[in-house]
Formats: sequence, structure tokens, C-alpha cells
Amino acid sequence: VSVALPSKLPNGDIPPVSISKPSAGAADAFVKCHIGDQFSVEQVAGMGQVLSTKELLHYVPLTGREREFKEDVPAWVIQFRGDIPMRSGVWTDPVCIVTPDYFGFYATGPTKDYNAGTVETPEPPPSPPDKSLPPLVP
Amino acid sequence: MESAVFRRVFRLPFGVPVLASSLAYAALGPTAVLAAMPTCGGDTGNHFLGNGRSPSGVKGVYGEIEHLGQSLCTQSATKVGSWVLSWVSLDGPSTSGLDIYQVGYARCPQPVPAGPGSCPWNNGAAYFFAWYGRETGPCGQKYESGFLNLGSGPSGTYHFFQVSKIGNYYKIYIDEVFTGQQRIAWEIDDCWPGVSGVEWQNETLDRNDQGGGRVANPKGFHNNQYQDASGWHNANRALNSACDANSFPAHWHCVNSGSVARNFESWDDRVP
Repeated sequence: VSVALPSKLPNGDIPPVSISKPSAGAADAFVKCHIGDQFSVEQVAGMGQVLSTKELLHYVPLTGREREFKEDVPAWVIQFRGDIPMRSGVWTDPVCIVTPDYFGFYATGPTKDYNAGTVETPEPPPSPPDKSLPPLVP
Repeated sequence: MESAVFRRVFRLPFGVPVLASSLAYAALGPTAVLAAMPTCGGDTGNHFLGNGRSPSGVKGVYGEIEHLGQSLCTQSATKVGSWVLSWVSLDGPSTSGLDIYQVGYARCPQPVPAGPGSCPWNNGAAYFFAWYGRETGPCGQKYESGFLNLGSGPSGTYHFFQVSKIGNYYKIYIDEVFTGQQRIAWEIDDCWPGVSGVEWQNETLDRNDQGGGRVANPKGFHNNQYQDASGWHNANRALNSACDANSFPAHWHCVNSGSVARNFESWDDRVP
């Protein structure tokens, strides 16, 4: 399993997730983000749990308007790498985020829709992420 | 409790218990024989076969979709995207089609080893799915829920699918039972914003996936209805007319049927 670092940003104080012995929360995030039945661990650049949704923008380029994260709760974040086939097209480097009430995929990189081939770039975040998620460990 | 709410909302316009029609359909028997489809063509795209409506004030959609075995295109050495879906949906106003909340059947190919698959594999078996998406906008970056696997039911029969606004939620029901899948109202009312249409569709990701049923047993979408503030209404397409959407008319067929033109039958003529 490749465990290359996803970027040159410093890791936050987030412990890495073990592929073979994930915690219950990490295992739940694997299921909700379809690691195993659709995507493989090779597509995961980094993963971890932030203790507060307020920390999300340090790790992933969201806009800050995502209403799912208004509540101050812990969140699991999976940073994918490369071109990921989604329902509407191919998304590059998306993230999947799981909170106690919500989960799903956010287009934090370019997207290309299947039919027209239109490429869209995501809205820039208020400020670029300054930390990266740790890669998975065996 | 949830089912009781559903029954009250749904049954008022009809008078004929929907469960009775379900049992009648069940007597039609299974048709799960799968045919070999042509090699996947690599024309990856969202291909549709079905109907849509855009009535003002729409807030709910309902359809009874036949659960038939449908084949995926035949993969060659180079794997490409493929799926067979059948669903009902509420749609938002985005032109991309990403603003959608839907429920129906999904069948997906096995993922490439160490690579991504088109959708969750479920060991090759068809399953009930729900899916929600929204475009970049008031609620942030473009979003997809991913395919939510909601289990399965017997094939060869019809299953009932509904998405509708009940109280402060848009909820999904399968066979009259609340699935637990719901979106709080702001997600759709504010983030899309608002519901602008409904659809009843077959969908494939490759044109060599099977679109609809087979010649000898077309796939039925029955009792198709939408809901507005005044209640439930028939889809009301012209009897014997072609369906609104057909992405592959060379082989796919879809005809509106039923005494009140709220049904359609759909098939792929490559599958006898």
C-alpha cells in the first residue's frame, strides 16, 4: 500500500488511521465514503479526525458556507487523490467528510462532467489550507 | 409512525390501496435472466430513458418501478464506467443536473483492483439506492452524497419509491416505509434552491448497458405521480406517445401507457 505524503504541508496533530485496524469511527467513515466497495485505499491521500468542524478549513479547501459544518462537532476527513469517478463526472482530489449527522463528498478540486466534458474549478477557500492529513498506515 | 404519515399523505388522492396493486404485480413472476450485452463502448455519460415534469410548486414524486434483471455492458481489458439505474427524483434548478434527490435501483460493476469503481459494487447484485447532490452555491462547494445502499427486495415485482416533503424534511420511502433517508428542508429549499421538477428515469453510464427491460418483458414505471400543494397528480403523459427522454433511440424504446397515462414501459431491443 502506498503511503506517500499527500502534500508538503505540515501534518496537524492528527493521529494516522490504520488500514488493518481502524478505530470504530474510522471504520464507519470508510463505509460511508465507500472505501472498499467502490474506492480503494490507494485513492486515499490522507485521513484523520478533526476534533471540531471549525478546524476543517485548515485541512481542506471548503468555502466556509457548507451548512453541514455549522455545528461544532468532530469530523472524519478523507482526502482522495487523483481522478475519482463520481455520479455526475470525474472529480479530482475530492474529500469525503463524516460528522455525526452528515456525510458526503465535496468537490475541492476540479470536476469534469461526463456528458459535456465541462471542467469546473472549485470556489477558492477564504484562505488556503495550512495543514495536511496524515497518510494511512498499514 | 413514519409509514402512517406516508399513508395519510399518499393515499388521499387515490382510494385504491397501493399495497393491493403491489400484490397483483408480484403475481407477474420474476424475470431475472441476464443477457450478454455488447462490449462497453467507452462513451461514458449519463444516458436516460424516461419522463420528467416541471410543474410549479412541486414537492413530491412517486413511482412504482418493476424490479427486473438488467445487464451491464461487457467489460474488456480496459475497464470503463458502467451502471444500470432506475429511479424517481426531485430536481433543483441547476442545468447540470447535479441538484437531485432520488431513490430507486442500482446495479454496478466490480471495481478495478486497486482502482475506483463506478458505484458501490454490492457483489454485482442490484440494490435499492438513494442519492443526493447539489451544485456549488449558497451551501458551499459542489456536493454528492455518494450511493446509499438501502438493501434490496424481491425481483420480478414492483417496488414503490417516493421522495416528498413532509414537515421539515424531504424524505425517502420504499414500499411505503420510511427508509431513514431524509434531507432537512434547508438543504433543498435553500441550497438548490427549491424544487423545480420531477423525473422517472432509467439511466446507464454506458450506452451498451441495458436500457430498460427486454423486448419480451418491458420494464414498467407505473402510477407515476407528482405532488404539489393541492395533492398528488398523475404524470399525465400522452397515451402511446414516446417518453420525454431517450439517449439511445437506435436501441432503446419507451412508450407511455395506462388508462390515465401515468405509466410507461421501457425496453432495450438488443435483449429479446
